[in-house]
Amino acid sequence: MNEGRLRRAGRGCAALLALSIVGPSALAEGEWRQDVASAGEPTSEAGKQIYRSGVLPSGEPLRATVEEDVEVKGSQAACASCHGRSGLGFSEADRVPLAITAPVLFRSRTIERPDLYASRTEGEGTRPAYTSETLGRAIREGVDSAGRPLDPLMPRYAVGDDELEPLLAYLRTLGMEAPPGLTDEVIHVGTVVAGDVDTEQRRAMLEVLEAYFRSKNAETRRETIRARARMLHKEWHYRAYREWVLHVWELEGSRESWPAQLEERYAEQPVFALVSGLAAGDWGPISGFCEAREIPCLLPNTDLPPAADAGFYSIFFSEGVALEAKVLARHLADRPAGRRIVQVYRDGEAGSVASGALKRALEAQKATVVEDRRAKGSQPIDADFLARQLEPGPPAVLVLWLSEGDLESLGALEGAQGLEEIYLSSSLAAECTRLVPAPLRDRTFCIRPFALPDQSARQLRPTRAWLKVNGIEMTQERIQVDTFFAVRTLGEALRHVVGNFSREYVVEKVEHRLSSTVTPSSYPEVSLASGQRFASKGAYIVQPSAEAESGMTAVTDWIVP
Amino acid sequence: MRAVILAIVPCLLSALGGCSDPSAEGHHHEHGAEHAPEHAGHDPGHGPEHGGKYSRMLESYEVPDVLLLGQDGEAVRVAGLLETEKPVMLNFIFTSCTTICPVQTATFSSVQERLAAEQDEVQMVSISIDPSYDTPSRLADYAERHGAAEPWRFLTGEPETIRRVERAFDAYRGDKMSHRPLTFLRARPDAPWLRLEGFPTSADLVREYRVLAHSGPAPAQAP
Repeated sequence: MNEGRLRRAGRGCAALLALSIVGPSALAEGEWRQDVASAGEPTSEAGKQIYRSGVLPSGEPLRATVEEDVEVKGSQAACASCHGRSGLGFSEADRVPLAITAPVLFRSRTIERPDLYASRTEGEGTRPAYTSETLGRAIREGVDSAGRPLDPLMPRYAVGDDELEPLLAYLRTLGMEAPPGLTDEVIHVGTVVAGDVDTEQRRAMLEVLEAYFRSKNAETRRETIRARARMLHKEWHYRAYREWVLHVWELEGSRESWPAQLEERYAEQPVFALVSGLAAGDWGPISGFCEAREIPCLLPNTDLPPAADAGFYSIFFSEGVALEAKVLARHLADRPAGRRIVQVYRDGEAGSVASGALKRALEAQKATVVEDRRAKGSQPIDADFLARQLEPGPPAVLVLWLSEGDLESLGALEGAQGLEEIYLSSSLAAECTRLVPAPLRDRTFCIRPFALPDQSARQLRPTRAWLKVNGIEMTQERIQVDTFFAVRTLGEALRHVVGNFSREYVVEKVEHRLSSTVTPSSYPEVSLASGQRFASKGAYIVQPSAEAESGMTAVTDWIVP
Repeated sequence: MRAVILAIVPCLLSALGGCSDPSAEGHHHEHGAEHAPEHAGHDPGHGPEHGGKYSRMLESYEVPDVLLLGQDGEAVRVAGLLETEKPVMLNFIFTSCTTICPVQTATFSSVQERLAAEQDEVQMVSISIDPSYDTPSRLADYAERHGAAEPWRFLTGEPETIRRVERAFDAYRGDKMSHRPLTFLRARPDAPWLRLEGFPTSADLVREYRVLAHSGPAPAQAP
């Protein structure tokens, strides 16, 4: 039998092949649990650190050998780097790191359908339950519990007894408890609406979420009935279905009080995941909560996500206004050097994030220092204000990090001599190109981290159709499209984890599968991988155009800073 | 024939409810993965008895004359870089890849150590297949993290250009998650490429390089 060909043909389905023929032995549920857990062992923090980061209790990096003679250490050698935080593993090319959660390791594996899979009733896939001793041997020597060698890609670890012990303790707890927000029948999913958000945007988002939950549950109803009927091995699949219950968490007051409000809601009814969402201001307090509680927080509608290294559980469409600033800096690097640049923004998070990011990016490029002009509090941004920003003389480049409402007096800049280029933000001013008065069109540009309108018109057909079928009018295109994308992404991830309801596994599935999703978003292309947190990574610079039907033409390619 | 049928059955099932559940242990030990002939000119020989096995084949590839970006942000003419009189060792990686690339990169870095003073004699090249994430500065960090020394170069570029280079080496497999462990070696610009598929150990790679550098491509059967 040519196993190479089998593996290639199987690809993503490889794991299911195993699933349908190999199952845990018929040990009574309680029996193996008692063996493993040595009665409610607490999570070993030292073991968790070895598992996730490859850092030993001494602070030294974990060391191992792969492929016989290749040394790996630290995060390269961490268990999580192949098996995932979830311990459920994921495939890359034809390599399928095995599931190493406690319920898998500490139960034996046998072939359930020897009639179908005679050639595999022994060997690959079958083995006795691991014990601490055989698991230690697997980790150090790469020999499984049946005495067979593991794949040479499985590192052979150089760990002493003091290091092995916490790791084994951690593995005994990995995947043992069902995550909060989940019952046999129901999966609780939340969405956050925080602060004083636009009521139309709020309504548009919730309408899409509610419609998706309705249709999801309508499709699922019969699956749960089938699960009770226990049809052969398919039972396992049907058992994976749950009724989705949506919880809308409306947060009020100052953003400092949001974490406490989130904790309160979570105590009332834990959710398995948060999806989409809308906040007035930056998303930091919400993603902080998600990290602390280890809850997947997928694809909120925000232009102000926290920094890239903020954690594992939150995934964003893009870096928002900070990305726009970096793209602009990169674009300006290709323009004439030594010009005076002034940026205008309002007090508040969006303005400070955007202006700070532009300043840092320009400094890193050793370009001209950018001058900051800030509008305080409720100070109106009118013709007088804009004229004052041109003192002592108009700069060559003016960057306006302002929302639509603050751009009404843009026409005041018409007469400014020497003002060569004006840049506006599409995240802050959605209708950016339409706001520009005709006399300014030749020197005004919008930074656009979204697909171009003619691209998206084609791209968005399936979403338009879905909205129509569900009786929803497309009024807030970006919010509706991206909310549908977000909730659909959660749906797909849950479909692919089948019965493995692990929050970490859901995040890993999103990381790995996002680029193959067919649902359109506002972005030309989305893609993630392990550790990547921003799905779209660039922007166009566009110019208002009276001729183009969409009102704009791109003056650059997609710029990835 | 049986193998093919076995592979199709679960894919049909997948239509019913997703097919990537790994909770069961499938590919228990995948070592010794010898692959079916895919190309004309496939050489059925494989690596040594012990250690990571891999397939070897001799291929001729036409490398497009395109510009990529090095880890210092400099433009690099790929064809020029590869047309060196030095032997070339090339792979495709991405920095946020977890299962395959860290091993490929660690193997290259181990090869550099083994070659010691001789490391200047071989032009190592790693090309990112995730260019929109792998900016030059990310590649520079990655190179440093893996102790990569000159003349080992890391390249990124426009996604379409990267795809052209991948296709030229028959290494393009669509989504980056489907990429395969491939290493390419060539003795001189006029010599064929030796395509290694799988996981050679660093000792294997050094041996392949030595044979190649001193007497043209390695013999069909490994020693």
